[in-house]
Amino acid sequence: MLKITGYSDQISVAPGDKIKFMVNCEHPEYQAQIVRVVSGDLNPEGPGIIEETIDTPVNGTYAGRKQEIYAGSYAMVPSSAPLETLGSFSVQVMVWPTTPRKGLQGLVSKWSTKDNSGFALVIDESGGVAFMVGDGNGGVASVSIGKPMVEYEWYLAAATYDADTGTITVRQEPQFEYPTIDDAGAAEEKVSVAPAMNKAPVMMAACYGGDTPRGDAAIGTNHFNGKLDSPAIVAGVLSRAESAQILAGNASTTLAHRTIAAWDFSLDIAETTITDASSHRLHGKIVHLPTRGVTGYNWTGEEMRWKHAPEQYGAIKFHDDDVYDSGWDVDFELTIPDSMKSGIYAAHLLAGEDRNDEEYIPFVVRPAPGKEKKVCFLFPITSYKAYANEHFATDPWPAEIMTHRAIELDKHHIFLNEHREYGHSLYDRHSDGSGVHISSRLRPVLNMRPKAQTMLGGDGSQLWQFNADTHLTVWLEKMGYDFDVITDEDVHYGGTDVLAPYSVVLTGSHPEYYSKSMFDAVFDYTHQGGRLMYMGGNGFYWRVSYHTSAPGVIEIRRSEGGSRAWAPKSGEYYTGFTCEYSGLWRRQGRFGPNVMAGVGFSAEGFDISTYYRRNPDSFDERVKFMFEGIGSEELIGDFGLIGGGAAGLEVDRVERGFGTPPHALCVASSENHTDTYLVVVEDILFNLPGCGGQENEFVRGDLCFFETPNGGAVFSVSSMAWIGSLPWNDCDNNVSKLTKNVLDRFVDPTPFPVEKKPAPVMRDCYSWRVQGATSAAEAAE
Amino acid sequence: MTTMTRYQISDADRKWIDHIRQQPVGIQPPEVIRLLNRLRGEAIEGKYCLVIDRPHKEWVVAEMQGRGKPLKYHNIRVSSREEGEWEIFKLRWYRHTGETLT
Ligand SMILES: [Fe+2]
Repeated sequence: MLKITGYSDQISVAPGDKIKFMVNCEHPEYQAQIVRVVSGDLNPEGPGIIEETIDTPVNGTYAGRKQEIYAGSYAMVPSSAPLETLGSFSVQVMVWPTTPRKGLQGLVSKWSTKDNSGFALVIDESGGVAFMVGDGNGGVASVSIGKPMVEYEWYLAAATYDADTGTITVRQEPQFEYPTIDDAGAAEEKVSVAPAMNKAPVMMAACYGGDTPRGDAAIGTNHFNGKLDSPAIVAGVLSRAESAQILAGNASTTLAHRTIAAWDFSLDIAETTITDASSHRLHGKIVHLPTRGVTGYNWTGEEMRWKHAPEQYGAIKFHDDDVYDSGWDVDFELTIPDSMKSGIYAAHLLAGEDRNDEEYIPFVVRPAPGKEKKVCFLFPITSYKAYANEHFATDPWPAEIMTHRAIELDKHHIFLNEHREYGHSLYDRHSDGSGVHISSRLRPVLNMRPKAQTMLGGDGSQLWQFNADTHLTVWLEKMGYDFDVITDEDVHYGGTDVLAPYSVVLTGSHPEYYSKSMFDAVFDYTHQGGRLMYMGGNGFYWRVSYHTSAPGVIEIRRSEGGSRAWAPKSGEYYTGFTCEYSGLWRRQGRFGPNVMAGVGFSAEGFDISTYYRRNPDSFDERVKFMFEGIGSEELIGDFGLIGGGAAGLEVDRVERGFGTPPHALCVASSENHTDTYLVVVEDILFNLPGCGGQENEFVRGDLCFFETPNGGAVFSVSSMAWIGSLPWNDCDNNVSKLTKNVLDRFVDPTPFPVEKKPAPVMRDCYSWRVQGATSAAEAAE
Repeated sequence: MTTMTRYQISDADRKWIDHIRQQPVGIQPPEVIRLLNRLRGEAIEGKYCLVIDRPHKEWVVAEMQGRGKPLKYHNIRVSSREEGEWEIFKLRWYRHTGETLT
């Protein structure tokens, strides 16, 4: 089991910037050194591990200490006078539980688990609503409905405490009736315990379990899974009618004056705050980013976008395994020296008896402004984030059917399966079975590491995302290219000007997740003379949102369709972070992967890869430069480290109907994929037999080229496995040659000759491949 | 989730055993895909897998026990993926048919 893990506060830094490293180490000490990461592939067939130690002031030995992640989201309001002087009072909230039988779960509490003091409206062991009071001296009383609630249904949960008589009442009122289900109830009991007025914060979706070791954050306990809407605390004992008025927001003046707090979650959906609409203004915050912009108890279905009817989106969905910022103490801080050239780096940590326990914390060093080189690798941190700490191999879904290979577990898989507090990826499900919408990098991301293997990565090296992309960086390095590395998060914040200095931008093998700002920036770059080499498959696919105030975190709603690990609930297709319509880029107006790159996701499979065969378009004068030194009958990439070929994992095709430019050339296509490769679901209207690689025309990757305005151009490899063939045979192979031909031509500022021709007749996917831009007969001449 | 396919293995599938031993991964006849879907589609509780012990050199056969639960290791070490596929295939064949393959 891993005993050393860590993360950094920044992912991208420039000379002069500071970056902090946070480390959890169960060994007494560890050694840290900064390394430049060139290659992270352990496959003996591949380039091997290549890294360069950088002499920095932070290299050295540090004391180890255990640092924990306190996962589980909640809302919190600091204690204050009105909350500490309650006599008789009432508490209520609308609740939509997803795991009512999980055990004690806090709904609205001012309860300290340290001395069992205060009060808490909860779901108790019975799966129903209960109200607990504790005097802090060992006296605890609880009044329970004792009837389990139905999962995924709305209830009113309400309680009153009469300080004069010691009477507690509790109500559990389903908002939807199922005739044979007994889930409604009211209870009334006199108790001899009075709730102590403690200093604990009000916690929603949890109880208060003390502060973190550093003392600046609360630890949540008894986390609740589900939605809460319209929580309120009111002085005095509310009648049922008064309770309904509070919920409806139409309390009389007298009743309003009794309101201690009435939190309206719809007022700051895109923020990390919660607002008390009462005159006490007992505002609070959310911790670990629960999901907002979700349908409330009063959602009618008439509005799908929360900005149009925020009053129907006053719910927050909490999960006991949400994690945003691990909040660890800093172990060391590096100021990037001017001498550190742009590249991928990592803090390499070694611990244990023979220093065989290790951890890498990767980061990117950007060039100093004005010192940019001509070539740039666009480090797709947004997509790495989407996959951060994925549980494909160990969670209950038919993963092995998707790969048709035995599941292999690397040590991080085994650790993450048992350490759910490290959070999940956008492919996983929360403990309540719902899809994970939010993923952050402010936690150890254990699959974003050199040496890490992943089951989706195909037979051979088995690499995915970060480590797979080192096949590209090692090739650039070995071929003698000078290049910068910047992250797509830099592009999100900085826009197209971040890319403008470069003649050529190369993507990674799977730049799948794009924000609007990123998409616009890269697209505009290609139309302002920039040259884009899309070096992967299934890129520019999902639209995601970055949070507007919390750094390093993205949100997705896998709306409507697409090859997806889960589906959002209806009414929840717009992100809480920004209210953008999330989902496939191809459904977003004039945009889509085919518009950006000429190709879009077409098929996927994860066993073995294949090769490309040249198409008639490859003999066009416009792409002569690309095939210098490559024979007309030569198969391209029938070798490689990812599945044994250059065409594999996720592959893309040209399709005019999805926006491929009509003048694009489809110069080569892959063929003979296994039947594990299947047409993507978004291209299937009726399900028909014959969707596998041995039969279906859509199961292929297309090498594509086209010119863009102002001297720009785009080249797309349309396969995640392509870059896995680059380092093959010490970079002496035809994938390497073709890529070099393109890169050299793209670096060359000479404009591409543009000869205007009449618009061609629209071609379908098949004729694009076999017929070419001219006719097949002409091409054969 | 239980197994995802309803296909039931029968004697007629015995003829593919050698084929699968030779070629567990790659282009397969439809009947082999159907058989492997059944075996590879087993539920996560009790699902066989290979734990990487020495990367690209040595693996240990293990059984998953479910979300969040520790692995159960078997005393089977293999030095190639092909060997690992075969060991897992034998275990699954036994589980489904009661027959021990050697
Ligand atoms: Fe993906």
